[in-house]
Amino acid sequence: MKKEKILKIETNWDNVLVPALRRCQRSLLIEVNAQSGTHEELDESSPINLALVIDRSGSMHGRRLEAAKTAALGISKRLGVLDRLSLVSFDHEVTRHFANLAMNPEGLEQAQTTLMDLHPRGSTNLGGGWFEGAACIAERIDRSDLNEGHVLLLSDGMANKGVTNPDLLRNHAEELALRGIQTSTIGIGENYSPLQLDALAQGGQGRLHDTETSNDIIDVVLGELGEIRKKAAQDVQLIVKIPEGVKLEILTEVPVSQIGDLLQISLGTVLEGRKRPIAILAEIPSYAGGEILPFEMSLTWRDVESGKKCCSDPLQSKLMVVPSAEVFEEDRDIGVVGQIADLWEATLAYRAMLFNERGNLEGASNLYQEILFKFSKLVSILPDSNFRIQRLERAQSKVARHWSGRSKREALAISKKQMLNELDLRKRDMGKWHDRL
Amino acid sequence: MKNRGFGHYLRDTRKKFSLSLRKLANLTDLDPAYLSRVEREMSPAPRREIVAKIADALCQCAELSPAEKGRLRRELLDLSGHLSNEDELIDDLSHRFADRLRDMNIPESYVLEAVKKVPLDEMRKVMLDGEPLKVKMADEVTHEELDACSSVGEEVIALQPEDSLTSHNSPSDYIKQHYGEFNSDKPQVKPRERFRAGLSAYIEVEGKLSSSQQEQLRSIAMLIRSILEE
Repeated sequence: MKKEKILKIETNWDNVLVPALRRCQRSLLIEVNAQSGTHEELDESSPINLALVIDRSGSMHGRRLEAAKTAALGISKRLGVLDRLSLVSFDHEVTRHFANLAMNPEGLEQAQTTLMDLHPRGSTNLGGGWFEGAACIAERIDRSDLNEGHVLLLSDGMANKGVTNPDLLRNHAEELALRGIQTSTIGIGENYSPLQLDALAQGGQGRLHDTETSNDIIDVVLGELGEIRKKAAQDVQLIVKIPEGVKLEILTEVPVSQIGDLLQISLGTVLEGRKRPIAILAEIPSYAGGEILPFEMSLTWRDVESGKKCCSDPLQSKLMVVPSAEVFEEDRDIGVVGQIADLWEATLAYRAMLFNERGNLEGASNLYQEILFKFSKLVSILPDSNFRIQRLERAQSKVARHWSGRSKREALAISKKQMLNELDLRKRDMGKWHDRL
Repeated sequence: MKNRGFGHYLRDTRKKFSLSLRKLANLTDLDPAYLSRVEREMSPAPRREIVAKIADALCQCAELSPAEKGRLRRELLDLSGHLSNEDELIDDLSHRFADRLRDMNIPESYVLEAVKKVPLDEMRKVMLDGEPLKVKMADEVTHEELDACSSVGEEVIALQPEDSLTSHNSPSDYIKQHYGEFNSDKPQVKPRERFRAGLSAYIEVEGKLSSSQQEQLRSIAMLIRSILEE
């Protein structure tokens, strides 16, 4: 029997009371969580359809390529006989070593022999390698009842051949994700392109990982296999019905569209047991006392097992308009405000670092300038509000200058993980993104 | 065609909500005698601002869902003859269509998708001309049924995009279509921003865009998608 995944919504307001006859601001933390249905004990996991795409350009020479090979061998040993593995490598040329190999003893032996024979050379056709990996997955989808697969790409360099534009890469990754092929990327060292790898991971509804050491590479590749197994739902959409006059600002980086009073937030993939947070600021206009402001929320998603579209029951979350004498600023929930502020800060850092990477230093700085007042107002009740504002200013100053190397790559990947509540798969304490400022 | 006027509808609604004439007059700052004349249709319906105020007062006094509140407001505006602006009429038609789907217990997420995908002309046929509306889950529909609908000219609108109802959409087809871009030594096309506006339509813009420009183009892409009836 197949495992049924149910998505749940949890909502937390900083304060559910709104003062009558006054405009005010409230913050809302929404968390989407995937839970197993009642048939978990009878579950048989779906076979995995994975393509590993490894950069074999000159810069990967030595320990990096060796670590990638070790990680790939580790993956092949962990896959079951029903799982399929493809291997593509690329320099200036793309090589498909094998496609959709069953991980039985013969397949495993072939995979090991091929991996041992992988040697570095040439320049970096990252886009071509990634697309070839996707082609392997697509072939398997055509020939079986599997309706999805994953490309995992490892690279330490910047694509300088073939398709290199991050926006084009993102668009293709988005299109393939809509057709069931997801992409996660692993950047190695200090010279990979966060723009190109993030574009593939973001469009591909997968994850961007940063690695430095050989152990990091092995840990992250094997950890990513675990993340793939935890995938509970894809193409997840959160729909929020907003009361008349209320304006919502989504603080976390997600595609959003609004039609009338319905807001649609695209969350991509949700993993089992991992809450996906969305931070929201609500601008509430003046209402008469006694009004109740209902926010109705529901989810739609595509089931990983069957590919069928599912939807949740609607959830009502309400604000109550009461006489202003009954509303006190200090009644705001500090825990919720703190979480919202953390998510907002991580999102700003992630966005600003991408601007910085593109060379748009003024744009990066302006992102902070535009929200400084609002952010200060939000965090004003927190005991560490001054520290947070100073940190924001420090981040603004950092992204307003040229910034390169390991510290930016680490900060970018860690801030994104915080924003999306993703696990850092490296088995060492990497600290916070703002430790790199 | 309306079979009753604003006054009667107002009186029925007020009574349904157990609200006295005096209380409603109080909430809306109106003279109870005037309100009584309006209800008995001895005075014409009030001006738009007053109708909106009455609607707000009624909504405030009843335990209504957001959809029910919207429906009540539109009904009062419509019966008082204040729903005349083209945008409002289109908006009203979409809302009425959405309400109709809600009455059929269609989940809110599908209602949103339906309002985006169903063309206004089709909504008008259903809501004003009484054309029948059938709703079925995609996995309950057979290809034979779809063929039968097409043969008698019935419009079929799938509320599940990129699914089994669309066969031209496989990953292999996509790979074949774009393989050349990734496997040729030709110079790359200039950087472009591309926005999906349907299964086979895109908006492509050369050069870099700001995040607000991107957001606006995403909305336009969504509008195009609804025009294409996807």
